[in-house]
Amino acid sequence: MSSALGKATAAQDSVMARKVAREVAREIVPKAWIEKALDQALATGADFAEVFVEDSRSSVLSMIDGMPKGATSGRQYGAGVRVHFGLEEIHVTTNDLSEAGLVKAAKKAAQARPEGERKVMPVKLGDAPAQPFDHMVHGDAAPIADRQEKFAFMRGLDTAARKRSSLVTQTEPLMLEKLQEVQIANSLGVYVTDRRANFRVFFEVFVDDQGQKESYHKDGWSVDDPSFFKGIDGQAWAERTTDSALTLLKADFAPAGELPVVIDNGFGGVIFHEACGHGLETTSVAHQASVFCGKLGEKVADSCVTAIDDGTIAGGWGSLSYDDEGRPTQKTTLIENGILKSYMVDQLGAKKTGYAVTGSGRKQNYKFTPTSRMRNTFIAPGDSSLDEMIRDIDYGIYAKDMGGGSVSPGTGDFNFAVQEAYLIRNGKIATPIKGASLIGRGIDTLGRIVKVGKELKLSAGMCGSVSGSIPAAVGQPPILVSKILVGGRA
Amino acid sequence: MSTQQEITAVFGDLSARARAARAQVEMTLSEGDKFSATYQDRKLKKYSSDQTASAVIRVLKGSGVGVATTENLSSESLTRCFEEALRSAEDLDQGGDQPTEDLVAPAGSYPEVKLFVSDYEEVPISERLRWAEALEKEALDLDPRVTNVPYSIITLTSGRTRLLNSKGLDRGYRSSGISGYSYALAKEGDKSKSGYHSFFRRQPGDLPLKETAHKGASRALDLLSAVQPKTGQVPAVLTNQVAAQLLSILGHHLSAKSVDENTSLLKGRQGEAVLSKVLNIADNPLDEALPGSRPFDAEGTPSRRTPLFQDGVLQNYLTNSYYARKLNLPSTGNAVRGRAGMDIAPSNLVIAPGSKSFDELVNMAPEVVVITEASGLHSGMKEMTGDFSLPAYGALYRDGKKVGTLEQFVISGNVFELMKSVTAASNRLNENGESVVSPDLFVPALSIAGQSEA
Repeated sequence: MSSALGKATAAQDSVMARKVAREVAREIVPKAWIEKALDQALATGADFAEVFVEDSRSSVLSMIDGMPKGATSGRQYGAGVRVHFGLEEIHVTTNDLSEAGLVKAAKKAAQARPEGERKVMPVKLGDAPAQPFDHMVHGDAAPIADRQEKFAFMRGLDTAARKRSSLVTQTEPLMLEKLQEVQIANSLGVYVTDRRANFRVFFEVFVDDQGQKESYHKDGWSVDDPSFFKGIDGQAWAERTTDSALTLLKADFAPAGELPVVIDNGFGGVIFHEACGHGLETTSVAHQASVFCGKLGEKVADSCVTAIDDGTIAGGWGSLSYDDEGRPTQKTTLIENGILKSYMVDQLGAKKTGYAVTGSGRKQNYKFTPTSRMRNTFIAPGDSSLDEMIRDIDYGIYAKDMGGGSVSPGTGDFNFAVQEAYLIRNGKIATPIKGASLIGRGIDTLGRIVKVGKELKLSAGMCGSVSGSIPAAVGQPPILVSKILVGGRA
Repeated sequence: MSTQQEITAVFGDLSARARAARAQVEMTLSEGDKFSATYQDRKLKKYSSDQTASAVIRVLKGSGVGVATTENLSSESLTRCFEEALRSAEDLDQGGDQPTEDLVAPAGSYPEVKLFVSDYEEVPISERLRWAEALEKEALDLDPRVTNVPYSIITLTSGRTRLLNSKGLDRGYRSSGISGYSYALAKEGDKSKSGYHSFFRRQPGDLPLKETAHKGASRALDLLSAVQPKTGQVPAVLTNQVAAQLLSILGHHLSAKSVDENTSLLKGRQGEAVLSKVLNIADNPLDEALPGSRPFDAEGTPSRRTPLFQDGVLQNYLTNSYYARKLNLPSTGNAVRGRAGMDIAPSNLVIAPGSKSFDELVNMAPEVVVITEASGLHSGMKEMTGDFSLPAYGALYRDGKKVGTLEQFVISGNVFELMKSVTAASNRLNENGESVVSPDLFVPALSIAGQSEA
């Protein structure tokens, strides 16, 4: 089974953080109901029980031919009861958030081992604390608010793209918004409430030059400002997207074979996410299903590589106040100067491996159980410059903008796609190329990152794995990979 | 939570509200149970039991269409959901002479498609766990080099879909299915390779547990001796699974919505030989063995088989009721719910088998590369253009005999050009539980990036 990252952004030039007052998020159901459910879940000898309640709202607005086309809104409403009997995990979900519904789900989970006797006494939950960070969305951010303003922004994108070039045949602006409210409690006494939001605008431009068709897309995003799109210069944004699509019309296919590649900052960080990140999650490490098993303290990369997974970055796409196990998120140094320092550890992963939890337990929604997942993962800045990296290459590739990727953690085989790239000839950026995946084996490729630049930039993606699709940021300064297989045309 | 009778009553009320607002309303209810179990390290790792319920309400007013969904099926929540969809429809209503969507009226008859076997309550939990255990055990016991099976998952689902609309439609159907997935790791020295396989069945008897586990594990074992091929153009066989993956891109281009929106490469090409004459492709929602089957689509249009390519010639686009009317095309019953409203997609895309055996296919050139696996489709295949660049695994055949396995290479090209170049199809279809079904296909030249020439 592979894990995959799809792109959510390429256009956000900086993370926008709004400072807002810390507060306690609302309780979706009374705490006493959760206490009862936990009590029932523990009745047959489970050594751990957890209740995760969710009430989420979402909205999608779409436009085609410059006209509003779709407006959908959704509500996700349910709970998951999770119990552990040793290392065995039982999970029961329900859409019935009445007291009886929660207790019934808890009883069903306990009945996985009907013959057992209680080991853990009923838990009395304290008050939910205020959110530990001040970067999350608060207040009433109804996903369907300001709709006409949003359509006006989308229409502006369409107009600007069509004005930019007569080769534009279609545009597809899309706005997606989600506000997730959760209530998490467990038999260890953890009790938190939380609100998470994400807002995205997605814009694709289609061009056609005498039957040759291409398209290009860009996204913008925010986790704390539903009106973030008002801060985007729509005209410049649409024009850049159009120009990128037009560049593809002129681009040749990428060459095939092993070449040096300079990968620019921002979404270029997908290389670390796929080549290494998934292999450092206890989701795979705990089962000896990662090529990074047993390598803590060992040199796994060139000493120019320091890599971090940080859930606490203000306004970060993958930031959270609490993870989906109710623990405050942390900043975790994974690799320091080439030495493997830490894995990413969820609660069950900690139980299986003995490593301390890192606030990395994440999942898409109440229908999943949490596993260790990345948050904002990036290679720390080094001291090389982009110009110097390109100057030293006779024949190679400059990958300016990347698409998504995937990995099989058990083998370390990974791939990711180049969205916008150029040939490097004699130390200079030459002609545009298109259509190539770069592939490799994580631990080998990590050793081939030989230069790291200065300008760190984070970009947003949606990461899919066993616990569903979650927002995760990737990032890096520009890097030079001395050799990687480029899947162009032979 | 509401009973079916209560739902009927609530929908009566919503229909009245819609009439009062000069609108139309449609509601789709989905309820289901899902059980899944995972074994690892010869122990139960996890089992989960999910009860799901959701409603999708679509409101049509003037030229506006609003959609709202909820997982709370109380009458209050459904009413709020309706109000939200109505507001969305009003926000989108442009007035004037914009083309208007319409609801589908009840049909005289609907096809019989037996998708429901049971809710599997007769299958005890212990038996379900034994299936998951067997998926892991069979893989581990096949060869000592199979060191780990990170995923051995059995999933049983049963569900009910009910569609009501204010034109008097009220129909439902039930479905059930069992799927299995085995993902094995094989290790030898420093080498670690993976392989997977899956199945889908409706009947609980005689599940292909051993076969699925062995196929996944064998693929991993096979790759332990794999080498990287040289960069170049080679005659190739796309195994049925890989061919199905590549052909899945046709769904977007066959959609009448994509045609209307100018994002289909098949626009204006009906009657043209777009693909190889070897390829005969149909959309088939009536095959009970396939996971995408149903008696009617998301709007209530009765399902039917639709020929898409005959001897490579494009015959039909796929439509929902709106685009069938707008483009004056036959109604094919391919409406699906998309992220931004009603969309169009194939149910099961079925490519007809050819007459040659797999052995004959690998004998069509002195040296043939068989592509056994391709991955990274979400990022390495560009839907709009058909261009692809995908990491792959495979095997090398000389004079029809397998002489080695291949890894660490990338296949690239354009799906449409590649499918135009197909010269033969096998009589062997993929059976891994996917809704795209294809035979193995032979192509005279496929671009491979691997070892650079010295």
